[in-house]
Amino acid sequence: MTATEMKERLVGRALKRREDPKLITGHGNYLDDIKLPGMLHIALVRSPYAHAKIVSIDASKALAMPGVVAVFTGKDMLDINPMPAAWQAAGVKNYPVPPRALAVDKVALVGDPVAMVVAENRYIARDAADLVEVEYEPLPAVVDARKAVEPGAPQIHEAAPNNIVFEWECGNKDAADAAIASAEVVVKEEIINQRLIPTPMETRGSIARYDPLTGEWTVWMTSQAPHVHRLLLTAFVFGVPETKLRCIAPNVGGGFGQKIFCYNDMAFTMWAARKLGRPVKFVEDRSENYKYSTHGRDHITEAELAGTRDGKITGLRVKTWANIGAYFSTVAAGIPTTLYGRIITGVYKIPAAYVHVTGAYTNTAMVDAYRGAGRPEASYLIERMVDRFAAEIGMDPAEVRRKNFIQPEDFPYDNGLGLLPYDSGNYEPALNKALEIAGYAEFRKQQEELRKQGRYLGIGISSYVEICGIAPSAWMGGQGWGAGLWESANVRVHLTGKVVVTTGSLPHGQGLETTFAQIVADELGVPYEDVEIQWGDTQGTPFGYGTYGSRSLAVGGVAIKRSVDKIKEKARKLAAHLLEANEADIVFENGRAYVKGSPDKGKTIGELAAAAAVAYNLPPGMEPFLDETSYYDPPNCTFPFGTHVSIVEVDPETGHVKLLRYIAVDDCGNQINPLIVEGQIHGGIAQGLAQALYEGAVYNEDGQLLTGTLMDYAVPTAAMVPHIETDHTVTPSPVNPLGVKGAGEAGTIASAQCVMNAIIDALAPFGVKHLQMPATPERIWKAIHGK
Amino acid sequence: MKIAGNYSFAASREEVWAALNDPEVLARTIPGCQRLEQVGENEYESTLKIGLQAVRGVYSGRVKIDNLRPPESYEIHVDGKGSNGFLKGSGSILLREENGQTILDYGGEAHIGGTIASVGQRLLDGAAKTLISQSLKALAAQIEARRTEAPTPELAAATTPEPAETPTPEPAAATTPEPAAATTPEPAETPAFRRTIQVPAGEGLSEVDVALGVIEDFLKERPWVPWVIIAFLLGYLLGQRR
Repeated sequence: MTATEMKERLVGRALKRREDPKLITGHGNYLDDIKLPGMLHIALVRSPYAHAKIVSIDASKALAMPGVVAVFTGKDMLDINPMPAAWQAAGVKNYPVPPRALAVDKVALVGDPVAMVVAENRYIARDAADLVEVEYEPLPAVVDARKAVEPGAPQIHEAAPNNIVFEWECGNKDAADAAIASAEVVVKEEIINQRLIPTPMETRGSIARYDPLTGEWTVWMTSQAPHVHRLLLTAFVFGVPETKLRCIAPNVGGGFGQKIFCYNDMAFTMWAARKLGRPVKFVEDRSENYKYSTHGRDHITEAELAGTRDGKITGLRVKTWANIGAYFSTVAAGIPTTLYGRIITGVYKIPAAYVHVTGAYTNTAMVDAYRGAGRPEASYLIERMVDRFAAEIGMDPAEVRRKNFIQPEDFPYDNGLGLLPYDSGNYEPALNKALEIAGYAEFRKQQEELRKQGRYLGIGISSYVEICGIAPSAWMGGQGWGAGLWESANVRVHLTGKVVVTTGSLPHGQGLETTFAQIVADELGVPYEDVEIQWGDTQGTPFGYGTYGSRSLAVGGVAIKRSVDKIKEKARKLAAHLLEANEADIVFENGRAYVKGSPDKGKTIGELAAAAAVAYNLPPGMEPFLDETSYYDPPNCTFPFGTHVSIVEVDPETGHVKLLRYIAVDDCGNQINPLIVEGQIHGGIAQGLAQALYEGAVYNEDGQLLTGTLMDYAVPTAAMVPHIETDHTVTPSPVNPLGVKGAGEAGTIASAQCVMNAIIDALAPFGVKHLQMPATPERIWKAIHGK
Repeated sequence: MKIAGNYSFAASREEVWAALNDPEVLARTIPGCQRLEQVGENEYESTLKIGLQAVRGVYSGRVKIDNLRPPESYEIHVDGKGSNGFLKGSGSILLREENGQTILDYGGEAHIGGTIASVGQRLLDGAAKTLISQSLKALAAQIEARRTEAPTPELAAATTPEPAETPTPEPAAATTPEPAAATTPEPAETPAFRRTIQVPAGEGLSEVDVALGVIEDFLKERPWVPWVIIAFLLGYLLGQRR
């Protein structure tokens, strides 16, 4: 510490999110707020059949309606390519059939768009869409992934025999087979991870404007990755130079993964804007979002876990059918393979593990990444199986976990499943802390007492590890991902000393403007208010891969730090020149560069920025302006972990579950803003416990989505989420200089099994060993009564 | 969706059978039926205007009856579509006599798609039951009317504005009409069996009739309900005056 006034550090402080006043007072600028002069509106004609041939489309009545400008069908758009299949399962043959802008000749899911009406306003477009007469020849449908790949199942795409998208495996099959064959104890369970609908508050949409004189488009989109969409739409869909497209993500009202992908509406709005020479807008309504935008999860798994009577796990064998939906969504194949199979053993040292995954097409909405993306499915599976094993051998589930944890000295830890080594971890303290908060030993006694009174309480433990900071490009290249995954940041210090950061990361609920500004303000020593974060517009931000996979801090944040480091380096050189000192003697601290030993002789970053900008007196060879860009490619992923504990009471008369307590102890490495971390954990837990208790997308056998509205699909309200007790441990990541890991998905990854384990623990006196989600009162009542 | 139930008629089996096979009667008992067109032997096309709570719409469909075993049973196949989705179903109708009454047993399965499935599925079971029971009630009324008014051919003549008398049968045109032609059939090509029944306003079973019928049935089963409401209102008004 020096004599200069020490500026209070912002990193680590629970600052309120600077973006919120705008967003929560109705001053955000979302896609549907954008109105362009002369803008036309699109309404889609969507298939009511899950699987059918399109026999004829008659738009004459719609075209006759005043205000209708045009009606287009899929055949009109054969001059553009289907959406790209960007992430395919690694090392095996994939059969990608991505969707086209509009369906051609046949439809493969309810909601598949067959025609689009373009009209002067949205009302006319919707009314006219009802007048388009489409004749279909219905075909048999299949909605279940396991049934879809059975012989004799309806065939959805000619290009994908037996509806198989890929057959993928990881681990050591022989070792797993041998471990299971020779085990003292084997537990076997069919585990279904039901289909979920992400339900961002803002539905999806696109607005496209085309300038015929320059051949350039501007597209506003509800996007988590505008640079990626720009690349995919130009290079793959339209076959034009990417310089011809500018993508803008305005405020985005939640994504949860659903807005990562390249959707047909981006393409058909661009196509129509070019064709008609006027801007066009398409915005989904809620039921369109439910029918056509991507869903998550939907795994059927047969799992076997082997172990010894004294609680040591010796093997794990997993066979999963992953429902991909009717078409191949942008990164669909990476989720149930790399992000699921490769982390299937979780926080445990399991010597022999093997995972086989069959991706299957069905007549349902496309399935792709949804908050957690593969890791919640993996974590649910292993944590359910470990509890199942503990119950089988009559050992305390916490004890089984302790016995099998990867130990602190094992890091970096290679789990043998083709993943990069786990960076750092210390699992037992997090477990102990969570159990201590819960009063575990005390609870067990109380549980016993209450059972005698006919009250059924249960406690559930979930120890998780996940993959964040995705990911090193060189590794991802080998995982079937068709691009890199580094992130970019540009930092400029303007001559007034104000700092502008532009980045390829972009927030849609994560509070990145606040977190990033905290880092920059600390590192440069400038006031927090003087740092502005700009994002979302491909014109004006450097190319970046976007925000998903809890990567924005561990990858995007580090890119910002590295740009700031470069700025500081240049500022020191300049300061040495201006102060006529040796560069090695210049210290940069608290926003000021001074000569070591004489802190009063110095220049502030503002003075240095001005000097660099006016460039009257620069060292020889130095370019003007403090302006630096970094492209940060991490050497490894990060592996956050923690333990969640929940306590429930089940009413045996009604099957109703009451969540009494929920305790979350998370370790996401260093925390830049604990308030934002806590908010992310809260939101994630709400989504995870909703999977355990309420949510589930249901298709009937005909492929009709029966949970097509918010009246039918049970998104939890605040009243359905208990008070969440949060705590943390801190194990900094050695992977990046910030020591951060990521926290955006942890809550979702940890919570579903935490609640399910508690419910099944409560039901132990009834002999219940497993229950499928969601644990509705009906399901629980039936389990209690053996039905 | 599976549908099953029964309904008792105070009429002979033959009477019920005759009514069930008379398009004139059917047109007046199918909920929301605005027009019924016979396009083949035991095959009809119709336009229905019905609302299932929030999901209202106009549906056009084809009804085919086969495996007739007079006066006992037949099978019925329905294939309809509209802007809000489609319905495809088949079922059977069985008539049996019991204690001087005729009991109609019905059962079948329907496949429903589109908005009516995704938005309206919670309401479908109840709505289907309501529509069927109100429809059968209307049928009972029609049977009663036929008895008192004596069945006459005038009824048909009076309500059939386009008597199908052109003797040039061309079944192909009737079974595979062009999309546009389906709604405006050219009289010259109308086959012998073709006839159109327009249901005059007020005679069919409209949405309002269905709703009123439901209320009527509800009150019939619970005659005390109006008294409770009156008592409540009275109590409320008296309370207000204090």
